[in-house]
Amino acid sequence: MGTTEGSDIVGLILISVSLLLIMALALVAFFYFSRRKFVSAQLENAKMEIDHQKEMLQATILTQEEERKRIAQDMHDAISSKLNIVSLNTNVLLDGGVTAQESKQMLETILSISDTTLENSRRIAHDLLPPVLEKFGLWAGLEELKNDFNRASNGLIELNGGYEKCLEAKEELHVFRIVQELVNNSIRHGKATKINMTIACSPFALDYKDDGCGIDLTDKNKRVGLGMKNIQSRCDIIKATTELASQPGKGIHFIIKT
Amino acid sequence: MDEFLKSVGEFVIYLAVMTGLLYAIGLKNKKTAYKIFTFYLILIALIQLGSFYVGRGYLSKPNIFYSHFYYLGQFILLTAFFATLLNRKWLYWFLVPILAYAAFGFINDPGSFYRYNTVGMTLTHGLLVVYSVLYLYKSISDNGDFIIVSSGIFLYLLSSTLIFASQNVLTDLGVSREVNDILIKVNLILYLIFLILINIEWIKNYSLLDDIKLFQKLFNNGDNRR
Repeated sequence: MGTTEGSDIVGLILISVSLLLIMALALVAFFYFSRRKFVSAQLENAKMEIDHQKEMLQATILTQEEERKRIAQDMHDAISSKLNIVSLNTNVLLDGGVTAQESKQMLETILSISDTTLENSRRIAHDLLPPVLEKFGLWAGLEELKNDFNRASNGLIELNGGYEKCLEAKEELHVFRIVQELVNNSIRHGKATKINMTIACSPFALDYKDDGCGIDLTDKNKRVGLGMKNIQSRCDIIKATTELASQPGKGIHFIIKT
Repeated sequence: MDEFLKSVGEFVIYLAVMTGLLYAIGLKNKKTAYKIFTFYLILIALIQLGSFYVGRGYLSKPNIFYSHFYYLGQFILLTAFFATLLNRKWLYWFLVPILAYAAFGFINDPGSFYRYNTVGMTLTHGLLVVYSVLYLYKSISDNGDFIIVSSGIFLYLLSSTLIFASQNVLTDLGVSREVNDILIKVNLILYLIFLILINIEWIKNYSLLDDIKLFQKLFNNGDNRR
């Protein structure tokens, strides 16, 4: 075989080797860039998750502060101020120099204020943690909530379905707080006149509807309120999924499922 | 002998030995895949030293029979390497037909020991290329070890297969040594790149570079506090 033919064959092999090398390089580059893309997508997800958690934490802290403020206000208005009057009256009685009639009147005032204060402190404690909820569970707690609201405006809340202890006590408290928040939102912001709640068990589900003014979910500029964030963070804790459907003027429809 | 071939060839042998030794540092505490790869590097370095000694260095005798140790040893160890990395034990089953085929070749024609087994080389290189692609694909979503090495195996084996496969044909056709040396040079450069990639992997992931940096950082912080 001549040298030229040999060179031709070697040349051909070299071209093939170069082509294979280029192909291999392209494939390695493809793997490299896919990997980078995958890693950056994962980082983005992790960042979003952290942001969400931060937001939830912030909402929780804010809610806690609001609650402290409310309790402080309640205690100041309903207990401290009343006890001041009791203290004043008692001082006057101790100092003496009052007629029997005046003394009787003062004692009656003290008794009446003590009764009111007792009632108020009971109410505050009840608001903080309804004893029914702790003793008899979620259904009794919700029944009581319904009755409390229906006493003020008849037929406001309708409670349907049934509940057979399918959640733990801690989870029941979260669900109760969620319902409290939803009802507060419906009345305060939605001006609802009718609220319909349905509870189902195994798996647990809550279906909540009202006929209030609703919210425009397409409006991105409207920030989600603290209450809704709080609800979301409680749902996260009990590992529940949420669905919210609402249109302006058509009330809201909120579903929680575990 | 071409000066280029001689000097680069010798450099590649030294580098191969060095790389093997580098990987052998702290072998005890490393994962199985690392250990298998170190054995592979040492085997390759030994084969290179042997073929250099027999072929060019001192005896100047034909050293093609080393290619059988090379491709079979490489296939066995890299199959174990990828089977460990991919956690797929069934890869070992491919060893059986390939080894049976090689053994059958030697029994059938003992003279084939002094020729390249082009079919065997192409088959084993092809399978190893497939394994490396499987591993590279897996490493897209996983935080895998040995990604640079796997890329190197993929690049080198895919491109060098044709050079090895053509050797018997070129010898049979009587292509002159000078012309064939071009291919040997290309293979040498590709192999050099492969070795460099293996070294980069070691420096990036297995050297104590990070530990030294961390230690320096801690040390400097300690200084600042004082």
